[in-house]
Amino acid sequence: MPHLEETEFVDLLDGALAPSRVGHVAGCPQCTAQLDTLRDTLACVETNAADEPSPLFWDAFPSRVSAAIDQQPATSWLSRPVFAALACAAALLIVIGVAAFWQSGPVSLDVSLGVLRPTAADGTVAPDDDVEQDAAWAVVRVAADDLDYDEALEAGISAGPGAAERAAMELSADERAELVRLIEREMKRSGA
Amino acid sequence: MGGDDSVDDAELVRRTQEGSRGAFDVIVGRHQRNVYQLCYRFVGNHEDAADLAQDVFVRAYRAIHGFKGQSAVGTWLYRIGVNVCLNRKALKTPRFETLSKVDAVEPVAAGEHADAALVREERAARVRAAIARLPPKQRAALILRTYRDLPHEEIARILGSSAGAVKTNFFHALANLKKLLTER
Repeated sequence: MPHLEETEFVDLLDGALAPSRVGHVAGCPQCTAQLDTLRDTLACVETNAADEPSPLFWDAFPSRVSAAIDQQPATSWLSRPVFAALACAAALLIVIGVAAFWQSGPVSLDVSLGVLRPTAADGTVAPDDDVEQDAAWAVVRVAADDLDYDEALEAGISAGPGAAERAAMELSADERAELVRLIEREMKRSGA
Repeated sequence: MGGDDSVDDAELVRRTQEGSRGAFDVIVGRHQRNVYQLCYRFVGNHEDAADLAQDVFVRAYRAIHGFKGQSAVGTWLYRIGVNVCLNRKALKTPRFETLSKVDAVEPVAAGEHADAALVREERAARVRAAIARLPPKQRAALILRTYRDLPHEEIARILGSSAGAVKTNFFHALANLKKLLTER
């Protein structure tokens, strides 16, 4: 019988592992040792009691939050998430406009980057090997750098459910191949 | 108006959405301990935890008009809290001061020798330091599972991942913590 997997060890700690797999642990020194280590460490973490600030801190905290809210600029159409979204859109328009002006041949939309790239005579899209060096992408990245998930959600610029799948379905064969290449490269880079 | 402690969270959210700051103050008072403790577990010191907890509630106030009540207010605040903690750019204070330095209330237990209390506090500080050295997702899974006692499925909703990924992160958090705690 195979050794327990990582998620099975967690189920075992929670008392939620199937009895047949629990039985394996009793006869397996390796899994038993691993389980003992996990249990000891968990006990060490659990007994680390929560510290408590002074009661004065709790009395003052709502006022502190209220003061911080008052210091925030009022939400308007110029508020940061909206401004960041407009900056992204403006940057993309500039990139598309400049690219269209400079391209002598037909252009192809690189959906993975949101920029235009040259199309070779045979219709294939030239691979861009270094996204980090792409000035157009850098403009977009800087514009959106401070935008976190919640703000993007507030500004209504997050992708809807299934949007990525729909976009992938609309890619050409070449674009799909390029997307696969980019994903594989990023996975290698991140060690995933 | 709006500052009634007996009103449930959903009603307080509705009143806040209608402009009642008093209602939001009640939400803050009701959830401040949990949010602060979450932040404290992430950063290990009072100053940063207090700043982060404040940031969580400011962000919650700004986003409350978009809150549709699909999750409990506490879960929603945890989600904001985890994002704030994971995205924090810099710490103001040195990490892992013992809380006793910042006006903590942690009395020596009845009958406990002062030396034993000191050892206990030192051990707790080492555990806090080790937890804060874990990779972010492992730290979040460990803190939410161990200190907030949330089920893996709810942690997955907060972190935007799957229950399986949460379990894997939890496993690696414990394994890495073991190594960190035995380091000299």
